[in-house]
Amino acid sequence: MSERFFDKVLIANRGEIAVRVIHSLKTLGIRSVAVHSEADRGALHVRLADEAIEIGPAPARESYLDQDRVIAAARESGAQAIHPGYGFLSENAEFSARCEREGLVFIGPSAESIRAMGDKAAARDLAERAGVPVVPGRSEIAGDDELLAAADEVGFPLLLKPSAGGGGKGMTVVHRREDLIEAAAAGRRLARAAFGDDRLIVERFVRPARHVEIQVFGDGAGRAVAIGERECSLQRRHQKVVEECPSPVVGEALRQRMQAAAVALAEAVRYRGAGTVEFLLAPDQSFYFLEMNTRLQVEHPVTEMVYGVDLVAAQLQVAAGQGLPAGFDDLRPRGAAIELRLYAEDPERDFLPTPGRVLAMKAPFGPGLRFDTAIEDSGEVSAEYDPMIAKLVAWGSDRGEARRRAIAALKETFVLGIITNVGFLKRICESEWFATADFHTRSLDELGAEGALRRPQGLVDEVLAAAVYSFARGSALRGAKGPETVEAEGDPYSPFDLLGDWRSLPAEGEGR
Amino acid sequence: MKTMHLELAGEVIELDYRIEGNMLRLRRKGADAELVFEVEDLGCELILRAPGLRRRIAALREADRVHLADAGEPFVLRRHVPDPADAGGDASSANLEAPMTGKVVKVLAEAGARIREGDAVIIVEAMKMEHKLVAPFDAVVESISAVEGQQVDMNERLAHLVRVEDEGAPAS
Repeated sequence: MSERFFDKVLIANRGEIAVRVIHSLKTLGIRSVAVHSEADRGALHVRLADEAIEIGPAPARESYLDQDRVIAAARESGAQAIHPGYGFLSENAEFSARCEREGLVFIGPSAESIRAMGDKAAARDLAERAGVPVVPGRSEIAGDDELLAAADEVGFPLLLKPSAGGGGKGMTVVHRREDLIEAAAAGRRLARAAFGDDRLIVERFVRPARHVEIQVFGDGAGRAVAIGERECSLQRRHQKVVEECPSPVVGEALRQRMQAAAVALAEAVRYRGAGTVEFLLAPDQSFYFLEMNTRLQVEHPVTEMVYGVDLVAAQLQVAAGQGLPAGFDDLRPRGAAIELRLYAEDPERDFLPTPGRVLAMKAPFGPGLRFDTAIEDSGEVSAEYDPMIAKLVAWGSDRGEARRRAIAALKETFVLGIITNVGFLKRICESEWFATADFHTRSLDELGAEGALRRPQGLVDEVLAAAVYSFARGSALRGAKGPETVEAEGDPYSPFDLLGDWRSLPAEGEGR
Repeated sequence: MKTMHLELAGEVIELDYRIEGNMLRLRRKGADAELVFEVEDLGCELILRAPGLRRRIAALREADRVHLADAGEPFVLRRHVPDPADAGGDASSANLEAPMTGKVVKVLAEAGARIREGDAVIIVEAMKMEHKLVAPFDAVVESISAVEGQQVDMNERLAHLVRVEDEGAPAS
C-alpha cells in the first residue's frame, strides 16, 4: 500500500479547482499533469503542475470537454488517474466508464452512480426507496377529479410542473383550491407547447425554504459516511454566492437525521468518493431530497475547514482502493466557516459578466482565512469560462467570528482591472439579516429586486482624491508588477495606445 | 488650480485640484470646502491622510481609466474629456490640455492666430513619444500658455481656442 496512492495524476480541469487539486497532489508527493486550452497557456494551474499538455483551442468543448484529448493526454503523460474537478467532465457517466475501460482511474463515482443520480425522476425514485424524504407529490394524473384528489393530498400552496420539463420552465404555484383547475389547464397547454408532453406533476410548494446539503463520502463497496452539512441558501438566480458550515439553523438532532438520509442514499448506489446530497429544508425543519451531486462541490472548503479534512486527498485514497481515511466515520465539527464567491460581474449593472484582465489582485491573509484562486497577482478572466475569480473562506471559533473575519478580509481584498462583486459580498456579510441568519433561497433575488444590496450612491471624497491623484501623477500603469515603463509597440496596456497619435522619437544621442 | 472631469456610470463629476509635492488639494465643482490630503504612494495603493483621517485606497491607472477599491468596494472612474463636438455642436471654445505629464517640445501657433480644424497647435513629448494637440474646429487662438521646453502636468491647460464660424471659405 502506497502512502501516495498514485505516482502521477492528471487534472482534467482549469481555474481554482485545478490549482486546489494540485496542492493536495503536491502535499502527497504525487506528480501532477495539467491539461489546458490555448487560452490557458499562462494559467496558474499550468505553471504549478509538474507537466502540462495543451489539448485544444479555448472553447471548452474542443479542449476541457473533449474526452479523446483528455484521455490521450493521460496516455501521453503516463498518468494513472484523472481528477475531473467540478463541472466539465466531472459528472459525465460516459467519461467515468471510458476511463475504466482504458485502465485509467476516474477519481469520482462509477458511471452507474452518476447515471442513477443524473436522471431526476430516477433519482427521486431511488431516494424514496432508500427511505429519504422527497417533496410530497403525485405524477401520472388523469382528469380533474384525480387532480383535485392529488392536490388535497399534497396541500396548498402547491407547485404544478410539467413532467417532461426542467430548469423551472412551466412551473406554476397555486395557492387556492378554487384556482387549481384553471391553472392546470393553462399548465397543460404550456407544457404541450414547450415539451410536446402535457403531463403534470403536483408537488408541495416548500417555500420559504433553505438549501442545506450533506457532504457524503463512500468507499465504493457499500459503506458511506456523512461529513456534516453546508448551508447554501444564498443564491442569485440559482447560482450559489455564499455558503457556510455548519448551517446556522441545523441542530445536532436534525443533522443526525439529514446525515442518516444522505448516507442511506449514498449506500444505496454503492457510492464511491465525494458526493453531496442536496435538501430543501422547510421552516418546520422537515427536509426533502432535491438531488445528488456526484462530484466535489465548489463549496467543499467550508467542510474542510470545520471538519479538518482534505477532501481531495480522501478522494485519492478512495480512488486508489484504499478505503475511507481513518477517522472519517467519527469526524466532529469545530467552529464555523463561511465561503464567499468572488465573481467577475458588476452588481451595479444587473450582474453583467466582466471578463477581462486583472491588473493587480491582493488576497487577504490572517488567522482563519483561505483564498482559493487561479489568479496570482494578475491574469486573464476569460469570457470562455466560469466567471468565478476566487473563493474567500473565513473560519472562526463560531459563526460570529467567521463573519467578522470575512468582512475584515473582504475589506483588504482588491481586484483591479475588472469590476467584481466584492462590495456586494461585503454588504451581504454586514447585513443584519445575514448576522442573524434570517434568509432563504429566494432572499438574494428578492433583496436584489428591492435594490437593498446596491452600492450607496455617490463617491466619497477619498475615492475621488485617489482618482485625481492617480490621473495627475501616474504617467503609466503603476504598480509593482505592472509594466512601469512602456516602450513596446502595441502594448495592450499602454496609455499611449489609447491616446492615439503618438510617435516614437529617437533617443537622445542616437543621431538617427 | 486645474480642472478634471471624472465619470462614473455616466455621471460626470467636475473637480478643481492642485498637487504640490505629496499634498493634494481638491474641490468639487460648486462646493465651498477645499479638501486637503497628504498622499503616500505605495504602488497599487495610496494612503490618504488628513487631520483625523488615514485611508488606504487601492488605485491603478490604465490609460483613461483608474481602477479603485475602497475597503473592498470596486470602482472604475473614467477621465472624461469634454468634447466640444458632443456639446450639441455649439461649443464656442475649447481648451487644449496636456494629455500626459511631459514636456512641451513645439508651439506652432501664437495668440491671435487663425487656425483650421486639425491643425497642430502644440507638441508634447513624454517617454520618447510625442503627441500633437490639434484644433478641434476652425478657431482663433485666444491664449496660449505653453512655452517650448516647459514641463507640464497631465491635464494642464496649455491653450484656449475660440471657435470661428466657417465664413463660406473654400474647402481646404
